Amino acid sequence: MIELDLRSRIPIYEQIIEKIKDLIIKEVLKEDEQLPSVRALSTELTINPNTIQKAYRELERQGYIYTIPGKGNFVAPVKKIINEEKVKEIKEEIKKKVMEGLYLGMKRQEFIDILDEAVKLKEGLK
Amino acid sequence: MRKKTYCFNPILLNDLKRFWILSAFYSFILFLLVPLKLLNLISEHVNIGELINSNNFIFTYEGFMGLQPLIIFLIAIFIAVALFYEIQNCKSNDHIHSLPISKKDIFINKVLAGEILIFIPCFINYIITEIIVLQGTIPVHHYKIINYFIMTFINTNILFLQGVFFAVVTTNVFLHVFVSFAINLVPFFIVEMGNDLLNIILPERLSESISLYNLKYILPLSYMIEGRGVDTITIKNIILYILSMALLFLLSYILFIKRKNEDINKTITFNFLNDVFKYTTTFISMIIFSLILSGYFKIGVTFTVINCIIGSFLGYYISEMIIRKELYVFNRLKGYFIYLGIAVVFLILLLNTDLIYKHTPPRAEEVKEVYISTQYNEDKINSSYLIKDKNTIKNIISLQKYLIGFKNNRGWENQVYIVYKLNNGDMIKRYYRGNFGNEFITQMEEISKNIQYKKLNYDILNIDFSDIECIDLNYGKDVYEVTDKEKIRKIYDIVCDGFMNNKFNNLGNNYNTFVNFKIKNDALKKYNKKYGDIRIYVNINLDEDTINNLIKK
Amino acid sequence: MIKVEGLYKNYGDFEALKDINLTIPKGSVYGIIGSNGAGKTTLLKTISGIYKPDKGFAKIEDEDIYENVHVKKRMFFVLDDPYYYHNYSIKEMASFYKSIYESYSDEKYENLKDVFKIDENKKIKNLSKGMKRQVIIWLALSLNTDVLILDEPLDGLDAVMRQKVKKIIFEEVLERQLTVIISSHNLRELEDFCDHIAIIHSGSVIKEKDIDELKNNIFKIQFAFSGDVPKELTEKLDILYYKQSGKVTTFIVKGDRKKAEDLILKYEPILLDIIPLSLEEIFIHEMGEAGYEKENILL
Repeated sequence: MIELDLRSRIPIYEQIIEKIKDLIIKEVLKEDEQLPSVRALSTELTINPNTIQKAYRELERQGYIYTIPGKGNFVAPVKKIINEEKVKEIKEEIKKKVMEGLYLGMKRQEFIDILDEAVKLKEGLK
Repeated sequence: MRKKTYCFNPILLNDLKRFWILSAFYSFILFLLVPLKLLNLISEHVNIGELINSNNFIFTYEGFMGLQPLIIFLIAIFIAVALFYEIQNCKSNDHIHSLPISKKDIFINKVLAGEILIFIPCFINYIITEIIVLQGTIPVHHYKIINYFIMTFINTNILFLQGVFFAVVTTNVFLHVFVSFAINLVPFFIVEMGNDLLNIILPERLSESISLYNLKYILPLSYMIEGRGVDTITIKNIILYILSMALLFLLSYILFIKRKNEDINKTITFNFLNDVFKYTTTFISMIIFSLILSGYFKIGVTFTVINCIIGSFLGYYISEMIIRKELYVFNRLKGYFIYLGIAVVFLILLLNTDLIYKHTPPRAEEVKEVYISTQYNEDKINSSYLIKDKNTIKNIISLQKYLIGFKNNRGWENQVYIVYKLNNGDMIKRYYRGNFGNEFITQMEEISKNIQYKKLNYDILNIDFSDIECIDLNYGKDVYEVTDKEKIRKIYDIVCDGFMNNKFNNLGNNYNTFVNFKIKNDALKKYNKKYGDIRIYVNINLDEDTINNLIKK
Repeated sequence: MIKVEGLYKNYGDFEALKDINLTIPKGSVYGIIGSNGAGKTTLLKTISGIYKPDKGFAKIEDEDIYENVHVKKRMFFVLDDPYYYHNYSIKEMASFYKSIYESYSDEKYENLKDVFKIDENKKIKNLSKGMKRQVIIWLALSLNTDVLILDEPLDGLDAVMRQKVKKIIFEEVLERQLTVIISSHNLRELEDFCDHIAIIHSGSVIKEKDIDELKNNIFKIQFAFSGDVPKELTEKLDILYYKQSGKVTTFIVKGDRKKAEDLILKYEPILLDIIPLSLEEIFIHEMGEAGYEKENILL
């Protein structure tokens, strides 16, 4: 389910966090669904279980998952967080594109025009 | 309370499992030496006389052409090496010390394993021998069998414990075996060879034999090799043997506990023993080297001293190489120069002062009695026939002064032994040899006029005529046996009279008759002799008439 | 928990370990990295109770380890060159350990037999080097001790075996909080094995950290401004390494990643890239900071 790049410079535990977040955001893992156990992940990926545990703890701290002692880790009701995450992601993307546009010599008014157009399009859809 | 865990069995059982073969081998060797030989005797139906002789032969250490002591030593040392190699080798030492077993338990279990490996062969063979003896018709005392096997167990055990001791302090197996072997012989060797070396440096010195046999309790090997064989068990012996084993065990135990595991990569695990090893090697190498060369070239003191310097240097350098595990140790020779300094000081004191060795004769009033003779006889030095006459003592002292003057004269013409017994109990023993000239003969003749000298030097004067059984008379090429009482009396009178009236003495070579008195066996006790016979040889000068009178019937 | 504090160990005049302080939490896989001769083995031998500390202590749950049979029963040390009795088969060696360690588990032994697939009746001396290592790990795991100390354990194992061994060890860590102390000069090997790492150089611990913290704490930033690099950056960031090539500046920075990122963003860079470092790179820079020549430490 999770693919890790052991040769990557990114710490494994961060990779785990990112991958699971990704799965939750993309809703591959649904609300209240049980996450793979530490043991399963450890065996499957040959990863230090302490690292996995730590990643799960971090995910829990960030509110993506919750733990039921003795049962395991489950996906938290994370709609709000997910949206925030998504918005943040989109903002980043827009910013990037805008930057590119600026480099190519686009003017401020041109961006505003695009915005207006988009708003209209959305209203039109309604 | 925490449960105290003892770890007795694992190491012990493991070692027994690994090395039982050594015990089996030892059993086999002992079986060849005793039970098998007894069985042979029975099958050959030898007569009682031979049997008794063979008994003696069986219960000694003369088996395997006299190599038996060496074989016992090798077995003991192999057992020690086998068991204790584990704590001599880096890897296995780390391994065993990483396990949850205390040092104490490791040591005790290993020693115990050794005891078992040694005990079983002795015990099994004892039982087999007893069974053979009980069944057969061989008259063997049971105490002899018990004595033999207990002593064999004790001897093997002491050699084993020596091996254990050296296993703790060395980490090189070759050094371990070598030192274990050497330690048994070194004290004897140092005494013997050191004596010889001193005799080269001080030729007039008369060496005394020093008995080291009390060392058998702790160094049994040389006692066994000397052919003294199996010691008899007495209360005193048993106590001393046990004490010596306890001492060896405790010493090794304490050193093992104190030994640091990281020191396992040193050749000798304790620094202070490095010095002991180094200087012993230096000293022994000095003795060997100088003795071999001086013996070979037959040369004087100066050359011997040079050989000593070279020999000790070699010994020091080699031992330093072994300790440091380096070939080049020229920067570590400080200790050698200290050694050399001490040796030179010792040599100067020895050669020039009376501090270590008395070069000057004693004063007459210090001397209680003197032995003087042209032959050396240890028994007489301790007899009651010594010269006590003050005048003669003065003469002897002045003779010695005369002889000291001949320091560099090494001829073979004259020789004389002088032993002073002083009032304070000390003894000064001297031996002079050289071409001393007429002055020496004159002085000796003067001394020989003293009656005490005569009694000391001419045994026949101390013998009763009635105790003489027969006389062999060698005159010219002929030998005549004289058994006739009258004739014996005659010869006896001539000889005694000749000595008493200074007609003969033992100084010159001008004699033509060799007389051999044989003393009756039943008079042996009278002259403090317990076995054998007494024969007294005398050289005299007789004219032909007397001879013809004696020989003619 | 194993605690090492103020530990000194000398070989004669040579100081092999100097003031070592370590805390090894229960259930962790603790890596000790250093070059040959750095003191790894000495440290492990002291922790496993073979060597007596000259100063300071090595304790497990507040009990000294040296000559403490009770405590040593809970740990097993796999030497870099494993020792076995001459002529012993695997089975015999196992029964020897069984007689010493009460925690020995026949069940584990049998289970692992299937993993390693070596004939237990084979004499160990006849096995290849790699197989000998497998055997000692097999035995070590069968002992079921609380602590396992491994000196350069994965040397001589092929990649598949390595993964297998790791998997088994991870399982034990998970199942019963096995503490593993492992030394290596191979950073890569430890990177995906340990959760804690201590870097040791000429007898001293230079760094002791959670491996992810170690990684998070140091990173490479590449950025470019249209103008000059603002002064504030060089003043406020803890820069270990600085390189300028054309407009692009490369920093290696120690500290909080977010803060550094925000700081640079404030000046509106035309390029900003934050790259995590490999453990190896971290190692080099940490060492450089501690004043060591990287060549001496890296391998």
